[in-house]
Amino acid sequence: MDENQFLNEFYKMLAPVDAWQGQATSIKAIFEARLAQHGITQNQAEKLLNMQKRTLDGILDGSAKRIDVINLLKLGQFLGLETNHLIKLFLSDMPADMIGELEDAKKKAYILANFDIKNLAKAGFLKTKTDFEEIEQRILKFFGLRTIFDYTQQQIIPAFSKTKKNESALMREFWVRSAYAHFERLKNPNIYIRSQLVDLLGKIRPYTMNVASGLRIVSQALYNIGVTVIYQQHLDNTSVRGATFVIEEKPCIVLTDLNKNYATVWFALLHELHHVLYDYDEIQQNIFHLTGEPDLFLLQEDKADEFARSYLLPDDRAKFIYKYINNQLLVGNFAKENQIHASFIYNFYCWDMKAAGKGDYWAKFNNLIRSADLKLALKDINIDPFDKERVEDTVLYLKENIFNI
Amino acid sequence: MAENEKDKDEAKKTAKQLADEQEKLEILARAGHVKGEQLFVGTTGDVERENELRQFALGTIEDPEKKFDVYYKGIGRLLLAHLPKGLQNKAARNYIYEEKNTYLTRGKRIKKDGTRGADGRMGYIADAEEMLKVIMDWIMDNGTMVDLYNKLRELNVSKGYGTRQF
Repeated sequence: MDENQFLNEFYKMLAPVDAWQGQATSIKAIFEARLAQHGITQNQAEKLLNMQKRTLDGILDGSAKRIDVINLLKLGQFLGLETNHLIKLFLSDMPADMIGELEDAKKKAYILANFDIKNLAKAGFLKTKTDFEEIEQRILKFFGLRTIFDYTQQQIIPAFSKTKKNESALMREFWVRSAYAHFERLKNPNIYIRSQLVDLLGKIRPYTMNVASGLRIVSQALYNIGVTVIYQQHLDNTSVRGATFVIEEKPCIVLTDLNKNYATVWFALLHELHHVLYDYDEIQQNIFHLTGEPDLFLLQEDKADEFARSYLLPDDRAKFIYKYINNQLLVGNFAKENQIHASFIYNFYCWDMKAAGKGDYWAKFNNLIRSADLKLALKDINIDPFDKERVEDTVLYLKENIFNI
Repeated sequence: MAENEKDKDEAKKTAKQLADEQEKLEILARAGHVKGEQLFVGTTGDVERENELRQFALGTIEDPEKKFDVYYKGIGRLLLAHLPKGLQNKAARNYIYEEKNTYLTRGKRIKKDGTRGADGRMGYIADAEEMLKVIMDWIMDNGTMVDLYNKLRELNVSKGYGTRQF
């Protein structure tokens, strides 16, 4: 007999021999009706069921703290009730504190199923890994939710299937929901007109040289034409470099500090802007698109990369300056001439050499690549959303300090 | 019929793609020409720009090490690597060096006795950087030696620096 057969036999045993036909209002009512039907006393019934009086009374009037499953099933047989019917009736009589306990267990299970506690704690979002009360409060407050179950209630995000999620999918979902919550509350009042973006795009490059405030100025300018850009720290277990959302007909872009590299942040911005210009409809249908994750919607990732690349350092120029890569002065002057930060050139060089199998230069040029201080660049827009108590706090900060509204 | 419509769809799609490509090229071209920060974003942005201006001004104050770098590691090394080598080209190379030195000394020509009365290495950094840019552009354009000479000559003429008197 294999396991399934065994269970089937067992379920057969649970099926009542003499099914209860009458009205079923409570276990106690049916019990009394049964006693009358068979003309026996409760005392006899106890003997029949091999149960103690105290136990039986505990079930019948709902006073028992804990109930033995076997006892409940035995009683179910006597009453002639299907198991689920029996449980339903039993629960409807259940005292409030027991219901509370159940709900508590459900909440905890929900949190475990929808949040990657370990990595959220590592990212600094959670202060505790064990106090579920605190974890729940943190999440409720942050997202401004009524109950924890509302976290997945909002069906804004179609790409997250309901099948079992692994750690990285949970972190990714958290990241996306957090970003979405920020955009939703920011509510950019400016109307997005595509031609304005095309126009503005031509003017972004020189700002890459302005490490201290370039990113902020470009974010402000984009905001003014209806494109909202925020920064959200990269989360462990995800490889999101950036993302584009379309919310209420307006493009919204999130940048991360994946690899902690200044050039990468700008590259991501241009990559996402390409998506805004040329994949708008697809993204609008799907609401969001993540860059760096396996492409879910088959958007033109190559083209977006190619665009960002040609925008920052066209091939013919790269070919010229690569020859003098060891001459810091020339690279510096060339960068200035081309209105980009010199770290981009080293960055592209290392990338290209690696891709062409000509060697790994990352360590050699590491200092020059890091010469642009990412922390300084993000200082004004680095709101570290996971550090704030509520999404609203971040949004307020952004509105006052960056978007000037 | 269905075939036809499909074809039309294809044609429309490629037309849109072509337009997109065209637009992209225009954006890239404009990005290539833009000089300096041009976005207007309100008061906070302006303050920053002022600071940058000051920094830029301070940055041009003479700096011996930088001057050395621009002259030797920049201009010198590039010319050495990209001008034709050999004795047979020496005279042509000298024409170019002469134009370069004239520019860097702000118009001092070499005299018959071989003195100039000024030294290109001691000129202004801003001039040296301008020279470096001209040379880099020339290399990127794959220009000939004559091209470079013409470029430098034009540059000198535009500044009103005279021709050689002998």
